[in-house]
Amino acid sequence: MKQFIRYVLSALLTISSIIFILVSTISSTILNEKYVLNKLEETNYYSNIYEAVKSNFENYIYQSGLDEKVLDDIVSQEKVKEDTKSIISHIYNGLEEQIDAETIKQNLNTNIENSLKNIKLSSTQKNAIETFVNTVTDEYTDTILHFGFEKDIYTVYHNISKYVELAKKIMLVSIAVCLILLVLITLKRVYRIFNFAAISSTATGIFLVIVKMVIASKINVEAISILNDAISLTLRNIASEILQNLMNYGCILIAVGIITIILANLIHNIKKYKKAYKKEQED
Amino acid sequence: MHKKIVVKTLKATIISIIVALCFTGAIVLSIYLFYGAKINETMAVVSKYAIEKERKQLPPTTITEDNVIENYPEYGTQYATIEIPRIDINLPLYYGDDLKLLKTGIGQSPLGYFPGEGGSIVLMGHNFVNMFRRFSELQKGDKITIKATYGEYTYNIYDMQIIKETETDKIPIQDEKEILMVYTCYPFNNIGYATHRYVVYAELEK
Repeated sequence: MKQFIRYVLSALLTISSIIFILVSTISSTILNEKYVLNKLEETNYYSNIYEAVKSNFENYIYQSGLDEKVLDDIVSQEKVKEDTKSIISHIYNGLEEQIDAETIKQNLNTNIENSLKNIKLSSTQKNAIETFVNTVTDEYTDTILHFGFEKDIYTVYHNISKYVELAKKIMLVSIAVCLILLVLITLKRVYRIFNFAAISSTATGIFLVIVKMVIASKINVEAISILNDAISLTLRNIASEILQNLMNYGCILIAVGIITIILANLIHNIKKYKKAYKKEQED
Repeated sequence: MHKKIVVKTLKATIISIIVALCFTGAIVLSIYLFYGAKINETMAVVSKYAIEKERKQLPPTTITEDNVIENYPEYGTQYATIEIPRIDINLPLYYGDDLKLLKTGIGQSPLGYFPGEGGSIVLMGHNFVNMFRRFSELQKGDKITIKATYGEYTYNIYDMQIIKETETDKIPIQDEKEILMVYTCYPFNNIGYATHRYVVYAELEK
């Protein structure tokens, strides 16, 4: 009966460990604002998105009849970075994003005025210029925002975070309870505790490796392409790192598990041998 | 005796690993039974965004005697050139109307038909100096030739119109007659956002 309970506890320990590792991985990566900001820096997101903004502006200049120079310095990479951080902060903290398109509008208007200072504009042309300026500034906001439903993402993120944190705590308690019960049941033979804990560790490791292999076989992470190159590159980087982490945790747990199983069984057999030898001597 | 210990340890280790495998198998099986369909669905959605970098070579586009195009060109690729001798135009024609494509050539709206198919063909280009800046010089009877990978088509211009950007009904998509509609932003020397389009209508030469 005790042996059966040990196996049940070991199975529960495995399930708790798996959920704990998966949930911790999510909470320390995509649900972690600092991690995401680091990844954006690492993948040159700001400079890539800056290039995308400039390229999108160029699409409008070709049909505008204006000199390309009117786009010079209307937006800086620093501003792109600030606005992106504002959006990230909005998603993670619910703070109101502050994308100041007015500065761009002013810079563009100044450049256009300088470029056309010797030309007398008709009211139609003035209206066309105003529409052009508004279109360019809207284009900037669209390129930076991408989705336009940050509030929804924040709500989803907020709910997921709550459950993730709760799941982490529950799993930690579950792991602790399983280990304590294993100790209580197997108090006289400590090596057995290690053996059952090691079985859980190995099973958890195998599961993580399987998860990584299944995902990698079904999704070509390195080819993920969403919205634009800057976003795709960052997403690929984050997805690859999460999968690599799962693989690493899996391999470590398998190695630690197998070594512990060997040691625990070795200790058990040596003790058994010594006991038998002692009994033989006594007889 | 030592050998016995080693053998026993080895046996116990193998049994423990088998138990671990059984645990994993049971967990995987449970997940598959309860959430298998949802997981596969999610994977399928995500994998749609994983575009293979190496594109397969597509078979060449051809047209049958009944004007049916086989193997349409891939979106974003150049499949023809457009020639308008009156205004010295000889430019690449892309299938697609991405702004990126329009930087280097003429785009074809995916909403319309292909040359030879017998319907409306909608082409667009910027009014750059080296593109459609001289569009106003075109006259009725002028020719526009599209040299596609699957055939050559010549059209005669029969009308020109200046329309508002929003007047999409002036560029109707129909499949009864092969009509070529080419447009660019208007005025040609426009300053600011162009709210009008200069459209040239041409019909297939018999």
